[in-house]
Amino acid sequence: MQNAAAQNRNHSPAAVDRRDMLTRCGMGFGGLALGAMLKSDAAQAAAARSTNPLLPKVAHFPAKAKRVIHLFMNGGPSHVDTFDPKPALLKHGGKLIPGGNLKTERPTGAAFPSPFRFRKHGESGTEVSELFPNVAESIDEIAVIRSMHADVPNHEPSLLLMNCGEARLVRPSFGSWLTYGLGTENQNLPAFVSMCPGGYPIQESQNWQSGFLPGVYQGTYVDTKHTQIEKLIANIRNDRVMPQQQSLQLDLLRQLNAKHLSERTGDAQLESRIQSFELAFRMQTEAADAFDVTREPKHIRDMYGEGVQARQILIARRLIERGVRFVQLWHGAGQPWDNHDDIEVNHRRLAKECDQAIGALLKDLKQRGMLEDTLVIWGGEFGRTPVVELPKKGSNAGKINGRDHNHWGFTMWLAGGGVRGGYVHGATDEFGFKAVENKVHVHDLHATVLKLLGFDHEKFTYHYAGRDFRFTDVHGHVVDELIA
Amino acid sequence: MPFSKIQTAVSTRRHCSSSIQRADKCVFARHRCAVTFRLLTVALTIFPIAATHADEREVFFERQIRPLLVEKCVGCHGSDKQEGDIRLDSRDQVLTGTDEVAALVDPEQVDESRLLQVVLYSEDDVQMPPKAKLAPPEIQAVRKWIRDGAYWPETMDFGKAKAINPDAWKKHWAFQPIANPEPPSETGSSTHPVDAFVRRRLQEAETSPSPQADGRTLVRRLSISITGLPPSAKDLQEAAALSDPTQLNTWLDAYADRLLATPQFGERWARYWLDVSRYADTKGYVFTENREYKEAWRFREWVIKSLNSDMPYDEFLIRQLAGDRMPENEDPQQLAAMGFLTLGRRFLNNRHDIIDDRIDVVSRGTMGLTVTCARCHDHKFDPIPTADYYSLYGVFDSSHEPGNAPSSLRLVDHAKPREPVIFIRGSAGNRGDRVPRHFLTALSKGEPEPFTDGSGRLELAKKIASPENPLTARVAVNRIWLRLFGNGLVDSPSDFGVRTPPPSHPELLDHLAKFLINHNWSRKSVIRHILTSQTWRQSSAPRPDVADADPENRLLARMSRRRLNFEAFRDALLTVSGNLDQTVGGASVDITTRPFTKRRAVYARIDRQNLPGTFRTFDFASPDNHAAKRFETTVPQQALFQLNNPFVMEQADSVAAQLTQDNTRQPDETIRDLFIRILQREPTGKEVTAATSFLTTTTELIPTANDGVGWHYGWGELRNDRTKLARYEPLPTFHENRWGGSDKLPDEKLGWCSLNRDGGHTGHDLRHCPVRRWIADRDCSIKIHSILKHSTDQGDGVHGHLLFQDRSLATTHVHNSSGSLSAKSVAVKAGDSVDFVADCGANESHDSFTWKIRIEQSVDGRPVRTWDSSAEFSSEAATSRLGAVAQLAQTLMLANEFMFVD
Repeated sequence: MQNAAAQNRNHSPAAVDRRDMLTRCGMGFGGLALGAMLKSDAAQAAAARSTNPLLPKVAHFPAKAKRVIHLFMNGGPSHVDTFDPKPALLKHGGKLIPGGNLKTERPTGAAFPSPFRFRKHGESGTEVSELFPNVAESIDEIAVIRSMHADVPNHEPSLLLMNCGEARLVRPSFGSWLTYGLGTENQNLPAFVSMCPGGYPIQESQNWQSGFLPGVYQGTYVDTKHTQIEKLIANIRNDRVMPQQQSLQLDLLRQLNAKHLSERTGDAQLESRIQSFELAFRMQTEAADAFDVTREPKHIRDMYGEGVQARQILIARRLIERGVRFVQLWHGAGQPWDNHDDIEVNHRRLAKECDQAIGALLKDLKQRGMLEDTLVIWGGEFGRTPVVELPKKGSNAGKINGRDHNHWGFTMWLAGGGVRGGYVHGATDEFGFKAVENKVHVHDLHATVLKLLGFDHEKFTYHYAGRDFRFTDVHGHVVDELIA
Repeated sequence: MPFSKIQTAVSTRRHCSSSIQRADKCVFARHRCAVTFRLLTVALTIFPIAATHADEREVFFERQIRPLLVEKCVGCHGSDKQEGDIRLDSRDQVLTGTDEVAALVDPEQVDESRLLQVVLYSEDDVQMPPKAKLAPPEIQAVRKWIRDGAYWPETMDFGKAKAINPDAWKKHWAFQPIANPEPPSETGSSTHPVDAFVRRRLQEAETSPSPQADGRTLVRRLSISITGLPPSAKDLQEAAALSDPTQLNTWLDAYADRLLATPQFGERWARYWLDVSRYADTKGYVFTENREYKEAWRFREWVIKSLNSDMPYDEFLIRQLAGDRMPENEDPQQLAAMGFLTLGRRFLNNRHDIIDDRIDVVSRGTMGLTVTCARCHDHKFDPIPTADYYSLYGVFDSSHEPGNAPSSLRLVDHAKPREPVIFIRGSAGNRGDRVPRHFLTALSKGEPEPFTDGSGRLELAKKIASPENPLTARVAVNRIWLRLFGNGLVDSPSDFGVRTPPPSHPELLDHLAKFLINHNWSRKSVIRHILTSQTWRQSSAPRPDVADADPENRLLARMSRRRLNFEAFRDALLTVSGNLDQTVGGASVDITTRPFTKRRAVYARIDRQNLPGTFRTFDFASPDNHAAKRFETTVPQQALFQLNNPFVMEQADSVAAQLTQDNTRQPDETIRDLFIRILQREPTGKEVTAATSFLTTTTELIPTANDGVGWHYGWGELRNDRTKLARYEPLPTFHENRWGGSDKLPDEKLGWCSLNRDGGHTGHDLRHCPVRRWIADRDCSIKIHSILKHSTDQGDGVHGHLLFQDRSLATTHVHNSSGSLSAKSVAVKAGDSVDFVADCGANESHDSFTWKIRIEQSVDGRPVRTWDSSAEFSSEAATSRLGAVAQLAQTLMLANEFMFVD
């Protein structure tokens, strides 16, 4: 038995029934007639599930969030420069902080006050630095978690922990879990899209891997540096067969397949493949449309602004709007937010690249009524030290104006999707080195996000290699305060 | 009231972590508990309870403590589940402790009470209950209860701490010696043993097998099962000609032998072992280190050869684990066998994880045991203590890769073997007892004997590949069965542990396992044995009578229909196009980029870190983990590949090119040839009609007589009067998203002159103008609408000219503006060209432009077609459009009939 859904029928959430599926996907040529040849609806549903594991499914309980946009600030943005103000740094600026520095990747020195001004925003009065003025305008929609912590101060394990819930071993990514659990609402688009302009982040496609889950749950990587659809999605265009001709091919194929099926009635995998061609045919139009931001009205494009960040964030909204389950947006190839030196210049530039578009995204989702069931996650794989990184040849150009990695404490924020807006959860210590109050481990974040999406993280399992695996492994506590 | 009455649903915690860093939360794992709270096994009688206080304390227990235990604890530590072997509904367990776990409370040392410690949620300790910390008053209550003597009325004891029978696993079917069962005789003595076992189960279910499939079906089934390639036309014909069943079966027996003797057998079946071996040509993410395993392909080579030479399976395994200790241990070809161990992911060169990966591939791959579950704690279900894991760890820790000569895939023993110690909870920093290197306890008679020969790898290999090992042969034949039938007799081919249900046909599994061993571990013999059974030769036609009772066809009342896997599909395309390169063996090749290799897909280079999407789309085995079987999904991305991927079209084109050389052929002859070549049968009358109509209509859209119709991308020399091109040449290169002079922009000769989907850039003078040319496919009348747009106030703008037959139909100049270039009702003949030419004016700076063109075509006043320069923009030269016959060929290649094997 090879099919994914059947193998885990006891663990995976139930698929919606076939009739529902037909309505949602739009049934194609001959589909219903062929379907009628099969015995019962239940048999059909089971059969359809067995060959198309991406059909929409329902979670454990009614979900507040139906889809996710994860804005990944890879490299690790500094929390004390963005969402976690620390006046004590100013007081101790240039002096060693009392109690000494925690161990991070590299040697660090004295307290390094943020060069950015913080100001209160919204009714909640949450403080946000001048780096994110547009995001700050929606602060009352946002729950800021100032007490995040991870395990180690290195990029590779921290990226894998954030994405796959495990720092080193090969495990499925969050998006894969989600598409395994929920399927997708739009069969004409990939269920899980990971976009990064100009190449891969470090750890590369492991960040959106499907691990031991079936390969169809793997994220589809899109290099948003490109604008042409054929560069964005594999095999989406055909330069050698014109659309009208392809339509004729599919007509003929339908006849051939119908004859073949009539001699083999009741075989769902044959029927499923027949349908897949029609879905593919429609996908060509739909995907081209979804990725083409020029189809947005000018005022919307202006709202998101210029540049590749704006484009990919707007694409994300278009995808989500069309039923894509999970969109992950990486800031750029490598680790752009990893500012071991010149943090003032670099953080300012990086924030400027994305602040307007993120702010626009939140408002745009809100005005479309989509924010309430779309979860937006912002953050890196860890934060940065409140103390300066000491100069070291080869690591920070000998400069003394950057910050080292910091897994002891950092900030992430959530918005929409049932999150409690205008709320600040937890705190780091006086200087922002370590999470001390209402600490939220990455596993806890995962457990909470799964809950927002309708899953009990302890029951959401996949049986593999002799045991039931969870995204949160044996860890994770739901942080109920974050949920509205 | 029993505990369970008010028990709330509490989450499952049936998982464990193999992660070293955070495994410390594997809560009440025995070792830890044993250390921490084997401090008190005090009987309750030590605390004399004043009678006057008893009622009060009973009330306290009843009101404060029992509800707490029920609500927060017994879901995981109660009658249904005993996580960490702990029951909090058991008075004895909590107050006195068991053999496994010490008492959880100690009124003498309240703060040392384990129960209190875990609910305090200390950061560096286990935190219970896992969902959320108890409220402060609840924690206070626990503290008070313990301090006051932990009073628990005997009448309130609901659960006896479950006595675990440590020997229960010994009864598990997979650990029993392999029997040699007699085939049931009631089905007749001449019955094939496989059929006898299968029919008995069918009889028990009061049903019967299906009739034998027809000769053609069986030829295709055999050919694809054994070689992964479609059969030859000759073999199909021969089989089809045999109407006598006995003759046919004799012929099929011989045919199977013939196929098993081809080198293509090894290519097909090697890939299955490569799935098991998590084969890849790269190391995975290793930061900036070189990722290539340069000699990975030599392992594949070795697997192919060993299958083709029918190397006994026991030797096959021993060479992969300890080839360095076998004959020919200086022969790089033989040593490549050890790629089985050495070609895993490198985990940033973390030694513990590399060894873990090796233990996993060996234990699951050869014996179907999930030994790596025991990395952090004793296996939850199977008889694999952590000590066994570290015994094997020691074996691999005592081996190393000695660099290049004679093989980079080889392992050898350290001069001095390392004595392993248990890493408590998997943490290398937390060392426990020393353990000897030895084989798995559960598979040894009595205490396993320590390995004495170097690392012990050879001893380990021999223990695995022993006829006495109850698992190895069973796992091997189950894998063969899986590949031949689509389902294993055991449903989880790499997990034969105690939670795995018995095989669908236990005696058959043993029969085959014994057969393997008794035939000198010959895999070909087992395959031949199965292929000659009627069970395998049954029809796959639906069986409505058993479909509901046995939807997964476990009873085998028919054959299961199979989808071609990724490799077989690609190979089949190359076969029918006549392009397949049948060279056996060799280095890995990239199969996803142009020019497309014609080698079999088994030779594909597998990049573990960034496996191309095509592989994933077609359910290729993940190269990261040992893969026991492949999923068989049907997703639209597969259809997109088949419709649009250049490789598929190349094969279709190739078929067409071989057919259409003779112009006198009738369409139905062409159609017949295509059906025979691709679907290996004659078309029906209806199919000929449908295909003829397809060819006619498609040819209408693109007449094959003139491949050059439609859009062309060139450059030209514009005469000074700007009404005619003095010269026209195609732009030679498509690069990035545009046609231009070369990969470079500006090009040495043509400068910036280029064309993209929506426009382009001018060249530097009138002699280098971009020309978008449209050639009419028929005699017709056309209407042209086009908008030329220039979007900057810099430079001097762009001039556009619409040229047709030595005259300019329209011309315009745009500079930070748009202009329309249109023509109404122009009569054109088939083959006439219309040119859209841009020139730069005085200078070429800032001369990017967009120029979208629509041409409406009509014949006798009837609209026939609209051409759109953007939508139809092509990176292919126009002449490479797929012709009608090739399109028909492609359609046949997309058919379910091509993709599935009955």
